[in-house]
Amino acid sequence: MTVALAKAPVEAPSGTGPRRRRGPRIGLALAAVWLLVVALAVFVPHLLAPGDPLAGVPALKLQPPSAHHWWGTDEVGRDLYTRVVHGAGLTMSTAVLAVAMGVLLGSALGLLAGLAGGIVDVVVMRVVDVLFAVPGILLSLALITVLGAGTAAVAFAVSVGSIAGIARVLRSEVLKVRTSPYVEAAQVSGNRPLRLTLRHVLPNAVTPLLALAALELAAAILSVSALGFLGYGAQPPAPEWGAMVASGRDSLRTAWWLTTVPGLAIVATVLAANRVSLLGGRRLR
Amino acid sequence: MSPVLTVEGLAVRYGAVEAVRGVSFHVDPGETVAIVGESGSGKSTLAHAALGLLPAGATVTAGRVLLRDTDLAAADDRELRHLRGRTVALVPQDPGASLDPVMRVGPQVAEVLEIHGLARGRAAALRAREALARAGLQPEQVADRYPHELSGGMRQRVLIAAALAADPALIVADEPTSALDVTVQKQILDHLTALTAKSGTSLLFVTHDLAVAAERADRVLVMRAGELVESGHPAQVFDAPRHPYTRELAAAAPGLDGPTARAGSTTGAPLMVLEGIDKTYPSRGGRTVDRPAVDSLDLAVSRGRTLALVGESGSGKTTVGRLVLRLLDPDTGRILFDGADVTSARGSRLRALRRRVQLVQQNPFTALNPRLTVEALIADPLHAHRIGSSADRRRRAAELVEVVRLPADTLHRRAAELSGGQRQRVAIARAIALDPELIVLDEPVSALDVSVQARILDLLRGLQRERDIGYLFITHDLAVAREIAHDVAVMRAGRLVERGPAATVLSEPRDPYTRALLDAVPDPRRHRPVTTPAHP
Amino acid sequence: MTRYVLGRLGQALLVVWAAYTITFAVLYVLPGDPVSLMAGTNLGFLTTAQLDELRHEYGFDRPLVVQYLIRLGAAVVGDWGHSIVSSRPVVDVVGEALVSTVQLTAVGLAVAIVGGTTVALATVWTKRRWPAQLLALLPPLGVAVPAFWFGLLLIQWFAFGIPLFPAFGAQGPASLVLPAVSLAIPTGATIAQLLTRSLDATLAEPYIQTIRARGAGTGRVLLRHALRNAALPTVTMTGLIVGGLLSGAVVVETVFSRPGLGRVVAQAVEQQDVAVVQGVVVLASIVFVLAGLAVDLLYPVLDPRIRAAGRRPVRSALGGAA
Repeated sequence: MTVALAKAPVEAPSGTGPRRRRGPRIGLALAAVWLLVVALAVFVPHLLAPGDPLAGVPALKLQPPSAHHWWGTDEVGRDLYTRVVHGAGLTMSTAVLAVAMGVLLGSALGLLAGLAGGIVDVVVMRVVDVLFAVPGILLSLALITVLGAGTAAVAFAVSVGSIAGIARVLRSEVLKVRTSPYVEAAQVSGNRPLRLTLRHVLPNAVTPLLALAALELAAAILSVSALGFLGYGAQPPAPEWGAMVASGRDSLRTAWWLTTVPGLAIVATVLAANRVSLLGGRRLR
Repeated sequence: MSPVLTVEGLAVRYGAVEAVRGVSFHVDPGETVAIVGESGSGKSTLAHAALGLLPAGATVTAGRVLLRDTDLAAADDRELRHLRGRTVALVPQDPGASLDPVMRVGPQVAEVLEIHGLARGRAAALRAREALARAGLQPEQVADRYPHELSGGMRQRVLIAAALAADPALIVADEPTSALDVTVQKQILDHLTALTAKSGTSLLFVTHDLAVAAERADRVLVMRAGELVESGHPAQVFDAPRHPYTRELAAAAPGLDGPTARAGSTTGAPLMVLEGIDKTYPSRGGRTVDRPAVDSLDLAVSRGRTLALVGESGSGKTTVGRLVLRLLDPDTGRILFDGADVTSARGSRLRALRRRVQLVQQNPFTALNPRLTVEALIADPLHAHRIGSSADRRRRAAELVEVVRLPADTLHRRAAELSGGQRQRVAIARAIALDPELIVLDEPVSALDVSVQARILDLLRGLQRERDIGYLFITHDLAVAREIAHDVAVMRAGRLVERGPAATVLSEPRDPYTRALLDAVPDPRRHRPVTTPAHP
Repeated sequence: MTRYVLGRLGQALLVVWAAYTITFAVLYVLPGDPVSLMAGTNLGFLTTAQLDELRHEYGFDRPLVVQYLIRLGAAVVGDWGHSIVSSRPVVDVVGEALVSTVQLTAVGLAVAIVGGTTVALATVWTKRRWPAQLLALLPPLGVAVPAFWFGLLLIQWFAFGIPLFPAFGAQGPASLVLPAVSLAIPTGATIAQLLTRSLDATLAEPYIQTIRARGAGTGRVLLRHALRNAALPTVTMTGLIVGGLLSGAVVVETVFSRPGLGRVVAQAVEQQDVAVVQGVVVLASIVFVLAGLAVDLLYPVLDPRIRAAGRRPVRSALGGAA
């Protein structure tokens, strides 16, 4: 068991045990490689899988994994590998869109609340409280009730669920930086409020944004695929990881690969995004 | 008698760094040995080696640590647990963080007895109370309290009680008072040394303060960069140091003898004047009557002179600094700068004031914007006041780096790459960039090692001579005040209890509180013979 | 103390009210009224006149502000409107489903807490040996696993592969096992992550060093001192954890074809039954708020530092003693 010194001597920065150092480096490399593969699948899917994800050969339906069909075929004889590769585009673009909207809105709200303070802060944060009080998927479902199914609706519905968390982190970051000694020093140096904010507060307050975005991406992939599983995302026959798991459900007893493989793709991608978010150094939640 | 602790040729490394190299010493029964060194000297590593509690990642690469006859490096976990608390006990560094916050104090003291099977249940509780009483506390008042309900000094007494409860042969005290106020420091040290003397317990005492070590130890060991550079009787180490490093330490150690560094003066036009200032922070509960942080305070700082504002934590001295900088508004009273009333200056008038009044903060590690280079940090005030072109500002930053005696290549580094002393120099350069007439220095050297401290004080004195700057120097340390101040003002609980020329206040204090503060400053030449304690 | 409790209660009510209002705004205001929404789906065969009649019956022809006030007033006294599809009171529809969901989430929470705490303690305990490296992989993995997928895997393994538990439905306690486990995986992993992190931080505290210096072994250090201190930050996340469980339940119930809120809401979304959707969302916010309240009121019991307000510190009582 490790117990760090009360006041770690300068020579021994805490957290340099062997577990900390070696394991995560390998993990990080794997995560980076996987995300690279996913990026390829999103932008140039035909490079990885030249086949057509929608064209099936009915005679070859429900084939188990083999040299010819690496991950087997589905109930209408489509190659599962091709579908998973092409599915990356739908799942990832929906998730990235959701994160982009969520980060934009969330950080705008968080920065506004933190910088403006006073009544603006109170009002914004009460709204954020409400968003926080409704579990993500229920919030998304409520929006989908109104917007209908489809990838754009799912992206928007998921982004709303991430606003609250992002807004809170950024607001507390702004408050922390604003009361830091170096901002006080800058104030005494004669910085006007605008320059104080732009040069000393904001750049330091948005440091965690990148790590936060990676963390939110992981959460968004999970939400998007869950909504896809429930049938609200991309409609069949378009390949989407969550929807593919759902359609494999009917052949659960006979064709294990139909549910297992798309699910593994989700797990790997979420894992990788989570690992990359740790690069930010600070734990955010 | 054989020694309680024997360290033979010990070497410890953290990864690639050798924290301790070839250190040998011993502690005899009943002896008090002090290890003195600055941060990074390896003194804490030695202390933890004596407990067999080296942090993860530390490995003993050579030598032995013998506790009585047991080699700690070779002992297994069970043997070590048996020795800890029973044969060797720890009085830790930070009493605020060294007690389990969710457990009552009595059971924490009793725990050591239970672990070693010396007593359990009510018997253990009873013995814990006795131990608390020996440590100078009233057990019936304290035993059922949680740590946060006690003051820092009381918590350290609780920790002493726990350390002594199982009657160990050796106590390792790792900077036991560095987190406490000076007057409390003295009481705690007096009590600890008296208790160990009475019970014949050996004491291994780790400190950064050569004066404290020399005052109380039977033998002093001086560590530097992992090596033992000198050891001997305190009088010898302090008065006739053999190693150049010890000489430097002894010279840098602020003491109270000799004439005060600088002649006091009451003449000269006052630059910044505070008149009848009151300041009370709104309390959170709203039920209790708030004690004012600053209570009808009158103060004046003159051009080119240093006024040291001395007080312990909670005395309100930092609030005064913030009021002078107009970071806080007083409830009542007036603030005059160069004859003009600036009590409620806003906007451009406030910015004009801030061209002339600057700040150096306590903690150099948080005082610099981590994203900016040193050049940008120093030029920031110029930029904020739109002085000069950007080439002018760069030139000025390069000049200032030279003025504060930093190497020129620091200009393009960021704060994280600099040492504490270097960062404080950057903060000073930033403060003088606008050629201010007054600088508020809020404990500017208290986070630094003594040798660095001395060099920074030297720099500040030089700047004042050359530039005729007035200093409001806020400090808890009378010895530091003596090094730099022309005048001294002593604060306690928001009020000024004494003020006058440094020479007068520091040699003939009128107020009993000032006297207590002075008394608490360690004096290496007044080696205290260890006496039997007067039982509380 | 009473003032504090009342204040927190008021805040909680405010959140629930705001949740009601925002869902009202989203569901009733944004894209036209619910009847037209339905017209696109299962009521497509109705004529315009019939639709108008429906609108009148449900009050959708009145001004929105009036609708809002009437519905809010009714909701306060327990009338949450009627399902547009089945015409049954929303309170009944939600109430019936609630029982099964509460069972599932309660068992899921228990499994998550026990499992998460065990993994966290084991990770910290075995640190620097090889099992720790394996254990340390579990929480990140658990957080990354979609509950719906893991549920299907469990069905494959333990209902079809080895027929230990029923794959679908809600008959008897055995049918609760697989859903509860798949629900507990992400939540338990979150708890394990929070707690491991918190334990690591706690073990680096000076007081742990002091306790070890008294001769305490790893077991005593972890169980008597570190765990209680480390649990405090995790407890404050209870609201988040309960919210996560509710989210998970919606999906897991669908996977295992269990009756419950998940199925109700899935159906309501499909049929655009806005009254039911609103009912479930507001109910979720009430649960979240209640969890938060419980934590706030419980916290002082766990952390004596929060209790401090009521008791005077001894500092002054002893005066100059230290």
